[in-house]
Amino acid sequence: MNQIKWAFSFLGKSKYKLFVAWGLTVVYNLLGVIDPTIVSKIVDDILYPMFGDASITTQTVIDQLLPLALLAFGLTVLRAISRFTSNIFREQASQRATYEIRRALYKKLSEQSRSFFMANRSGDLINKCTGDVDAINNFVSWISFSIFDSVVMLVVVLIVFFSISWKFTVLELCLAPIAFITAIRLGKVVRPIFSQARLQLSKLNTVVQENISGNRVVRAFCREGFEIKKFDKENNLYYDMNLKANKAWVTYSPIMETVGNIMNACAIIIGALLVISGDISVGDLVIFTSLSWMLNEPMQMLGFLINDTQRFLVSCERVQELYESTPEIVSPENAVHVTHMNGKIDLDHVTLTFDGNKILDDITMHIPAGATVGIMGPTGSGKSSILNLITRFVDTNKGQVLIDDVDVRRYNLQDLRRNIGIALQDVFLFSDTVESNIAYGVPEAPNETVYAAAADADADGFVKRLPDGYDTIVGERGMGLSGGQKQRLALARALAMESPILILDDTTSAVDLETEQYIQQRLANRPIKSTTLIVAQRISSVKNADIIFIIEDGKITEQGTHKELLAKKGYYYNIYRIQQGYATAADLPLGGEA
Amino acid sequence: MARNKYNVDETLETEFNAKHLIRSFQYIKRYKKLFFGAFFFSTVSILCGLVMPLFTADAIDVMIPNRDVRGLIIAGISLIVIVVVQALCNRFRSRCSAIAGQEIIRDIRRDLFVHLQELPFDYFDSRPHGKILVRVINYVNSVSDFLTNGIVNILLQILSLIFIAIFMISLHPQLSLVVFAGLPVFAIYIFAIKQKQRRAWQLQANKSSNFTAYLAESINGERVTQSFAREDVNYSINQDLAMDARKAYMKAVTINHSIWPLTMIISKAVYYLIYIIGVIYMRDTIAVGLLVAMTSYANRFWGPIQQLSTYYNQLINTVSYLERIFQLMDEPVLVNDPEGATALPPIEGTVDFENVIFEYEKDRPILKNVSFHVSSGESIALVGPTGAGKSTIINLISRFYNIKSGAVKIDGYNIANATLRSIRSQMGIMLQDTFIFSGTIMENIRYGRLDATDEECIAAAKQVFADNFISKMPNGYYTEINERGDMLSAGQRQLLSFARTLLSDPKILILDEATSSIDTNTELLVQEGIKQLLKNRTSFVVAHRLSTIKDCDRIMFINDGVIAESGSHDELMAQKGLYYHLYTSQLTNE
Repeated sequence: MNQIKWAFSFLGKSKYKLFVAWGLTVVYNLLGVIDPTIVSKIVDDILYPMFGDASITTQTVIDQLLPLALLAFGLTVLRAISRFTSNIFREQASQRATYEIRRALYKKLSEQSRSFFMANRSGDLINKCTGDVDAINNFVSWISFSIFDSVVMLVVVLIVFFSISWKFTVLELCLAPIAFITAIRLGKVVRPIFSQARLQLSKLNTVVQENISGNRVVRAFCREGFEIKKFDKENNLYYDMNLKANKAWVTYSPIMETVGNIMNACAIIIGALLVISGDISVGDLVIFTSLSWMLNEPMQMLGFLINDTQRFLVSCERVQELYESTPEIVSPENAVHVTHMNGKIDLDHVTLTFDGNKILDDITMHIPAGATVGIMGPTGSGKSSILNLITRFVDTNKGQVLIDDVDVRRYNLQDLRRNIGIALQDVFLFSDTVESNIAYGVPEAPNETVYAAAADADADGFVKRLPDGYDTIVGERGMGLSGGQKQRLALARALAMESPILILDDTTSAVDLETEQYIQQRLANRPIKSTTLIVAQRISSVKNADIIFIIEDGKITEQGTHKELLAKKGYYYNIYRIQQGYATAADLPLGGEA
Repeated sequence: MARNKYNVDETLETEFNAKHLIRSFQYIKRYKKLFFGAFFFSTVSILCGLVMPLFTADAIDVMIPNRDVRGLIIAGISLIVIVVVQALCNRFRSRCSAIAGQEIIRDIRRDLFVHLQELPFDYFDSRPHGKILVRVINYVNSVSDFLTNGIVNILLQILSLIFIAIFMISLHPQLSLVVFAGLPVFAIYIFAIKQKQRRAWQLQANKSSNFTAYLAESINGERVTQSFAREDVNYSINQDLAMDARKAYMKAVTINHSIWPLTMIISKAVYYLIYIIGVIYMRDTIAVGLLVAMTSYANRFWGPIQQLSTYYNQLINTVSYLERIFQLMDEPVLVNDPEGATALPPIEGTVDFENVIFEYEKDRPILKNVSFHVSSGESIALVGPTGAGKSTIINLISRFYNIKSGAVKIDGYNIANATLRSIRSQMGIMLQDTFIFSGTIMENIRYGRLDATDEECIAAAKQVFADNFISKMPNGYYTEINERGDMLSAGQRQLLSFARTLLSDPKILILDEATSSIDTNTELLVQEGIKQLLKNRTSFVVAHRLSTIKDCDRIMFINDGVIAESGSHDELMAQKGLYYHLYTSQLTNE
């Protein structure tokens, strides 16, 4: 059982706690066996002979009774304590394991690369870290404990039974194989259903999550009815799946239950027949009947334990899948550590393919430290891919990307990215305060850094007008802020890094021109000189750059300063004319590069 | 603005409130037949269990001494029949409660989801989405067991408790009092821990909600986290949240586990007290047999109480989830169809703002008395600084918010009195936030008009020049897009969202920064392409590119919540005001 071994390996030292918990349950069961013997002693030796006998004083009876009663009560208290301690210990142990698994999964998730997040639905990932981990917790704390408990009970009762009469025991057990075969069958049937149910829950999760995130679009298109239909479909399938699991349960569990109950009820009949045939004594029969519940109970539990064990195995497999996934992009062994780069960037004959398509084709760029570079080109031409190569979100297929003359693949990944401040095209803000969002990359940065970054991004003004200023909590993805405001916060967040390399991916597209100019001035006057890469659609965003690259279809088609490119009368010149309002589509070369 | 983040607990009422439980009966009620079935079959099953000992007692006391083998075999067969009946009853009971339970959670979940469709944007903007998600998915799952099995079992246990109590009292009232004497002790303990326990489970629910919220946000924001190399910081935040959840769980569960041992101790104390009191006071009046019988009833009386204490734990736990579920259901809907709302007829597309005052938060007006008239077919550009109120005007036309005073009219109808559906279905709104759903590209385009054929979807894509990139994708229009369209560039997403808006064939078209990430050539082509389309539509455009703005019939310069300037490009240039300043500053700069 590799899953069980895996799950229990997270217990660490807590496994001893779990063992103690299991040990205490043995104590609990043994004490439970002693209790009836005391009662029978009280009834048989004290009450029956003395109770009605007027010649014996009440005091004498009490003197006889009290010590036994106190002993039994004491044992009960001991039992209660051992039960409580056992429960707490197993909960503590399994919580420890759950906690360790959660930590490990989070770490795994944070190391994964782009392709992983593209291939996995976030609803599924969330479910793995919550519901599936809970199923593991349930197994470690409760199911495994119950299995142990049942096995102990069975072993104890079988030893007792065998020592008294093997005939009786064998007769009792002849039905047991039916229960076990049924149990195995149930396990086989129910497992794929549980697996489907988990997947279905993830799908349901995704529909709800997308609906929450896309609530504005849903309203805008008046698609509430459509969304509800979509939801109903998944909700109903989830319902079906759960009932299917129940169907399997009600098909097989009655068989196990019946077998258990027959064993219990027939103990008396079989025993009575054996008494009549002279094989056992009446006293033996009394022991059999009084202990037969210990045989019955594990049988009753069998189906339930098999069911939940399968649930665990399904969840555990899902969690393991996540745990064992290897990230594509990791720090190399013997990675180069660097605290502060100079910021010289070179792309040397870089080619990048994705799904067989060439995204970038033999790109060469030399960017001196401290330079400002503009990158323009049609939608989907590969601009963002260049940025992804520099930040190592993807690796090249051919050629190499160098920073300060070292291949980016040789750097420690964290070091590399700490030297790059990036404002992404798709602004993602966290539901946290404005201040924490700006200081995201440098959580321990002094307030001044945050304010300075906000001022340079021209965010200071509107932030101060927010209800709680810098302490205002912004919604997830910055909902409730305008596009321009979000972009400026994203810019401030990048600036706060004070990094030698600054990447602005379409950062000012939703900002009005005046603001953009203001930001450009502020950036030019920053005391920190960063190598700056600006990807943009607007001429105004890149025209002051030291060099501008035009990327079309994965190739560099033009490069030079604003003036040089205008003189070339190519793509850049066309865009310039259109944006100035001098040209219309009619002036474009036929076909366009869209 | 948001009020909640991942590490802020949501405040909830502290008093235990049965109203949540009572409210859940509205769901239970719908399946009362199934409940009755479950209850009936469990009762039969319990009766079977009670009959069994009669046979066994008979076997030992009568048949063995008589060596009655035939009797024993008959007894054995009867027992098997009873056992099978019992198993069948349990099977039907399990089926009944499983169906009822699944129906109930399906209903609750559906009601939550339907309600989510009506909640104001503010609700979604003001908390981590994980906290909403966890209510619809995880919490609903957690309540199903209690709402079916839990309730049936509680009823059964209470019933058997009453039967046993009556039996005991009829047997010997005084000794019954000894058995009942344990109850106040038990009650005092339950009462003492009630608040603590409830708070502990609330805390636990809060902490696990925080954990999930942070996890969800971490997954959605992984790109940013990796870009900023902040994995270590987040790892320790996650670790703290997991630790909080672990501690809260241990605290709650420790209280839970304390109840069972207590009932065990009380029941045993009562048990031996019966012997002692019997010996001291009743030696003359009763027989030993009665005493022994009373002790076994004491066991039977406290057995259900022990069971009830387990369900009580489950109850407290369930109520803390129900509370959150109903809290979401009670979240007020701010914008909905007013009573007697009428559907707008097919509109021409004139839009009027009459003295509109609007504020998101009290006494912070965003629009201060805005009035304008837009004729059918006119195209309007809204310009002005960020945060001046451009997006707000757009939001009000489609009635995403209620205005404070004044009126927004379409074709002369006050939209406050019209059904939302009739308003929004005649509008095409392209928002700044281009949300793409997981599914194929075709499905995403079709979102604009559900009955559109594939050809119509492709035609719309061609019209906005999205066809170029789509046809280059591995499966063309049938390429599966992951959540939020991560594999597409921002510009491509905008083109897709453009196509889906055009497909909806609206009378009023609203473009809010719709083309900011599309490259200039494509934008130009797109605009050329839709110029024809705009002809019969009223359109509102928010944009920063002058080329986009210039072509509009009229430009409104919004500044600080009022329309500062309004007119055509040429008119505004002649005015030499704010627009002139904006335009020239851009030109001179280039």
